[in-house]
Amino acid sequence: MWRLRAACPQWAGYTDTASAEHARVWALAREQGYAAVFNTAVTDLSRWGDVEQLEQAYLRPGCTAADNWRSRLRIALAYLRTLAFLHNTGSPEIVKVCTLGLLLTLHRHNPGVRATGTEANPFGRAVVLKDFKISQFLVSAQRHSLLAILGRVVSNGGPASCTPRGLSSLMRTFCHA
Amino acid sequence: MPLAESDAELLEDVCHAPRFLRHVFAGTAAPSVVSAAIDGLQSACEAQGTMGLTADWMADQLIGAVEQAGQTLV
Repeated sequence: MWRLRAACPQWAGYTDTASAEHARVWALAREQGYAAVFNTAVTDLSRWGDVEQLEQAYLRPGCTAADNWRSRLRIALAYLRTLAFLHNTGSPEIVKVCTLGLLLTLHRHNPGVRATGTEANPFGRAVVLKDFKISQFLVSAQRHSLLAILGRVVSNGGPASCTPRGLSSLMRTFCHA
Repeated sequence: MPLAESDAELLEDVCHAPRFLRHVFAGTAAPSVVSAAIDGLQSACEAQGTMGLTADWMADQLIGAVEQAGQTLV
């Protein structure tokens, strides 16, 4: 079972970015060469804690070019799952890891998005609205596997673009690797 | 029982979704079950005292409506 570090101060197990545990995990990521992966994802995802910005991200041409209603359905579902991820106030659970795949998909379609003010120190400043800190969605067990998967996903150019097969495949990877 | 401030904020954000979903499907020939499902989500948001409304639940409702209409998600 995947276990995540709490990302919201209201959650049990919350780890502040200034804590030794946070520093230790990121040091491990750097040692294994995956820090850049998280750097990219965290920096670009941080602004989407705001619902309106999240909506705009999903309405970008890369995702909505097709008029096919099924394509739009996939966008709708990805949006809802991401919204659930961002607003989940419960305890860490597997769905958060799975939904990270959707976030990475979103990232791929918004390569130009940059969160102003977070680039100099994306980990320390990746604070999004509503107290969510995406950078703290760290796996506390089996993190090595997740790091490896993230590295593979990014090096392959990201998960399949907005397709249910691609998303399902990625979610299976996260859930069962 | 009134919603706690944080719960109210979460619900407010979740209830953005039906409007956004209409926008996503605008201009497409989506089956009527899709718009009906979104209507249902909107009604759920407008219901007094709604608790526990989540975006995951909304996604499941949308998927269920499409599948019940005999449509595939792919």
